[in-house]
Amino acid sequence: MRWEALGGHYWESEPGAGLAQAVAAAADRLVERAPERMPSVLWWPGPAWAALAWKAALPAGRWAVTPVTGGGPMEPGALRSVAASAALGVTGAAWAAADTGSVALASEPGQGLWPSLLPPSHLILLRAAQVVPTLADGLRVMRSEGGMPPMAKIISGPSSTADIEGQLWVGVHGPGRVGVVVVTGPMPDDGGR
Amino acid sequence: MAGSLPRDPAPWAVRRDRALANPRLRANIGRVARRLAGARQQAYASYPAGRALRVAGRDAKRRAVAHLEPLLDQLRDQLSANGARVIFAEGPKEVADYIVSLAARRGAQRVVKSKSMLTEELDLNRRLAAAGLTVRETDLGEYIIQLLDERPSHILAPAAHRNRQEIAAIFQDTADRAGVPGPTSDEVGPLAAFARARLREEFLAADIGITGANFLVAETGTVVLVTNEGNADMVASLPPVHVVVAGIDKVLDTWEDLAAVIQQPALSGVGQRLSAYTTLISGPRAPGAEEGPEELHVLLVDNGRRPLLGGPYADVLTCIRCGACYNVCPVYRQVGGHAYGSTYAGPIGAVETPLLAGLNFLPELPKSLCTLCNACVDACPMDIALPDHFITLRRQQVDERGEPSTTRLTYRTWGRLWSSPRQYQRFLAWARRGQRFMMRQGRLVRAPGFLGGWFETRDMPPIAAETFHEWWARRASSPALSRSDEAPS
Amino acid sequence: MAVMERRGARVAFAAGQTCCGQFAYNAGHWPEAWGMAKNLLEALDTLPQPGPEAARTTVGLSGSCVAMVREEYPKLLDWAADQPGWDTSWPVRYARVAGRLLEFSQWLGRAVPAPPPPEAASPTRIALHTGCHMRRVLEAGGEAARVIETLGLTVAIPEDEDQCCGFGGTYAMTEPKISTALADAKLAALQATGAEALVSCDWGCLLHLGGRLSRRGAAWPVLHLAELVDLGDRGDLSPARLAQVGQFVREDP
Ligand code: SF4
Repeated sequence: MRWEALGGHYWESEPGAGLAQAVAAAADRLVERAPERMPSVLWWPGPAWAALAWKAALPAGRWAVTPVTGGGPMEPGALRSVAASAALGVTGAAWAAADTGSVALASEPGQGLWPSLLPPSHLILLRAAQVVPTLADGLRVMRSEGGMPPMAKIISGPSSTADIEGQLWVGVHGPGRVGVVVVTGPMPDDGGR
Repeated sequence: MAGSLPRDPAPWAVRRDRALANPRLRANIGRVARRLAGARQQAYASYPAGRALRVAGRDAKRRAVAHLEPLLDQLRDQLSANGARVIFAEGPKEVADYIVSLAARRGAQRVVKSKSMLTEELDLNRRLAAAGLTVRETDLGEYIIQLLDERPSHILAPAAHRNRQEIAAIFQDTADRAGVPGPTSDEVGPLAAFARARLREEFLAADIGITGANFLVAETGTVVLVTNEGNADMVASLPPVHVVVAGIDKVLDTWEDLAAVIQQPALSGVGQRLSAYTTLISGPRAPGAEEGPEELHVLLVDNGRRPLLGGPYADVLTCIRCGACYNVCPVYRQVGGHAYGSTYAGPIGAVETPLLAGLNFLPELPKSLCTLCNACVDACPMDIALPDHFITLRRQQVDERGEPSTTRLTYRTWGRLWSSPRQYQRFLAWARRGQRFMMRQGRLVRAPGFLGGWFETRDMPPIAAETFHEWWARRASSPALSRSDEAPS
Repeated sequence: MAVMERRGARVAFAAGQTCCGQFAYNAGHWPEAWGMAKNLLEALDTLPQPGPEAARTTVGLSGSCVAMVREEYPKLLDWAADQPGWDTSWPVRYARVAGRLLEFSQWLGRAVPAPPPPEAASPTRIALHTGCHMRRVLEAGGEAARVIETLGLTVAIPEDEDQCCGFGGTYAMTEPKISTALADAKLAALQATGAEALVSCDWGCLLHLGGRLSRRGAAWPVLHLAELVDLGDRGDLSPARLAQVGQFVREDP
C-alpha cells in the first residue's frame, strides 16, 4: 500500500496480544507528549473493534482515554469538545485502496468522523482484508454496501498545504500525523488474507 | 441568460502593466506554476493508470454535460430523498438572498467557508457581508487574501503572489486587532500554526458552513469535495447548517463516473494521485447520530452556463478547475491571475469568462492573453479545445465589429495584397520603396498602424534587394544561373 | 534548396505562393485568411509533378505554417463551405496538397537516409528552439535535434524548452509588452546554455527572437536549420562562420 509514500505511518500486526502492542507503539509515535500533561485520546473505532482491549494498549497511567463503545451516543456538544481537545483520535475504516494509498471512513451509527479530523493525530485500525487494489474498487465497495452514509471521507495522507510560497506544510487544519495499524493474518469473520 | 461575474474596473492596459511592473509577482507565480506543471508531468510518468483514467474521466464529464437537465432532476430527487433541500438558482442575487434568509430563520451570524471558485464568481462574500453576516474563508491561501482584501491569483494557490514576510505582517495585524499573540516568526510552520489556531475557533463557533462542490453524483445524490487541508470537512461537519453552492456543470451521472474522474483534480492539478481529503456528503445528520449538520442545503447555480449547452463551446462546462492549463500557459506565467480582471484566469478563464458573461465582457481576454502555443490543450485532462475556442471567439468578435476600423482595414489590405501573386509583387515594390523611411542601420525599426507594435521592442531585416521569388523567376529565364548555391536565403 | 538538391531531390518552387494566412486566421480575420489559403493551395497544386506520386513531397520551411495547412485548414474549409463563392473542388485540392506536405526537418529526417554520424560530437553547441506548433501540433519536435547531431554538433536544450517564445503571429504586434517579456525569458534560457548559435525550424520564432536580439544590440547568431545544414554540407561549421551567416540582417551573396 502506498500510504507511507504519502507521509503516513504504518504498522502491521497479527491479531491477538501483539495488536495491543502495535497500537501502543503507534500511539507513542503519533503523539507528541507535553511535559506534565497526560495526552487525551478519543477512542472510537466502531463496533467492528469492540473485542480489542484498548485498556491494554493505552494504559490508564499514560493516557486519558475517552472511549465511545456503543451504549448510546453522547451529547453531540460533549463529543465535539472531547474531539476538539484530544491529542489522538482512533477510528476504524471502511476500506483502503492500495494504488492511491487511501483509507476510507464512513459516518454510521456507532462510528463518527470527528476523531479523524479535530485532533492533531489520527490512528486508523484496518484489517488487511479491507485493502482493495484500486480506488475504483474501494468506491465500488462503498456503493455495494447499501445506502450512502450521510458523510464519508477518503484520506490520503496527512492534512497539508502549499499555500505559503509553495512550501509543503503538514497539519494545517486536519491531523498532521496519521497512522494505520493493519491487522494481518486470519480473522474469524473475513476468511483470511 | 448571461451570467454576472465580478470585474476589475481597471482597463486591460493598466492591469497588464501593473502585473508586468511587479517582478516579485511574476517570479512567484512563475515558480508556483512551474512546480505544479512539473509535478503533474511526474505524476503521470510514474502512474501508468493515469492515461486511461484521463480518458475515462473526460468521457464521464462529457456524457454528463450532454444530458445535463435530466441528471439535474435526478440529482435533486435523490438528494431530497436523502434529506437535503435542493434549490435551483439563477445567479448571484438568488444565491445570496437564499442564504441571507436562511441565516435570518436560523438566527445565524457567523459563516465559515471552504474554497470555492463559484462563490468567488458570485461575489458571495461581499453580498453576505453587506447583509450583516460575518464570513470567514478557511483555506489557508483564501484566508490570507481575505485578510488582505484581494482576489485569488492562482486557482489552486490563491495567495501565490504574496511572500512569507507579507503574510506574517497581515497575521500580526490580525492578531493585534483580536488582542491575541501573533505568529512567532515568518517561517511557514509558525504561520500555518497561527492560522490553524485562529481558524479552529471560528470553525467551532460558526453557525453556517458554505462549501462549493467538485462533483455531484446524480445516481446517489452525493456532493463530493476534494481538499488537501481538511478545511472542507470542518466546514461541512461542524456548523449546524451546511450550504453547498455548486455550478450545474458539476453533476455526474453515476457512481462509476465519479470513480473515473475523482483523481483528476489532484493528478492534473498538483501531481498527487488523490487529494489528502475526499469528502462525500449525501445528506444531513441521521436522526440520533452524533455528528454532521442538522440541515443540508444544495444550491445549483446557472450563472450563464445553460446557454452553452449543446453549442460549440459546451466542452468548457467539463472543466474541473484543476489549474493545469494555468500552470503551462506562458502568458499566465508572465502576468498572473489578477490581470485577467475577473474570477477565472489562465486559458480557461480567458475563454470562459466572455462565454459566461457575454462577448463584450472583458473583450480583451480572448485577444490579448493567448499566443496560441497549444500548451493548454495538451495539459487539459478534459481535452477542452481551448486554442480553437480562442480563435473562434476572436472571429466572433471581429464579425461583430468589436475592432477598431483601422485594424480591420489593415487586415483587409494585407489580406488582399497577399492573396494573389500579382498583388504580392505590387506589395513588394511598394514596401521596398516605403521601407527606406523606416530604417536605421540597415534594420527596419518602424511600421504603420498596429504593425508598429513589433518595432517598439524588436527590429526586422529589410526586404532583400532580390527576394527568393524574384531570384527564382530570373533563374527560370537564364540557364546560366541554374546553380542553386547562389540562391538568396 | 541547395541542401535538397545535394540530397538528390529535384526542386521546384511554386512561385505564386505568398503566405498560409495563419496570422489572419488566428486573429479571427477568416475572410482574409481564406483568400491567402486559396492562393497557397492553388500555387502548391500547380507545382510540376515529375516522377511517381510517392516521390513527390512539398517541403515547408516553417513548422507553424505546415501545421496551419495540415491541422487548421480543415477548420477553415469547413467555415468557407458556408460562405459565398465556395467551390466544391477545394476539399479535393486541399487533400492533394496536404497529403504530400512535410516540414523541412521531417523531410530531412524521414525522406532521406541520414549520413553516418561523425566519430565524436563537436564541442560546438547549438541552442535549439522548437516552435510550439512543431512540438504540439505536428508532434515533430525531435527531428531537428537528430539532424543537428548528424552534423556532428552538440544540441543544447534550454530550460523550460516547451514554453512559447511569445511570437504568436500578430500577437507580437498587438501585445508587444507580453510578447517581448516572453522573448526575453526565452532568450535568457537559450543563452544560458552557452551555445554558439540559436537554431530553429520556424522563421516566425527566429524573426521575433532575432529581432529582439538585434534591438538589444546583442550579436548572437540566429540560423534556420536549413542554413545550418547548408553550412555542414559545405564543411564549415566553425563558430566564426556561424556568426557570419547568422547575422540578423543577412548580407546578399
Ligand atoms: S480547462 Fe482543463 S486544464 Fe484548465 S482548469 Fe479546466 S480542466 Fe483543468
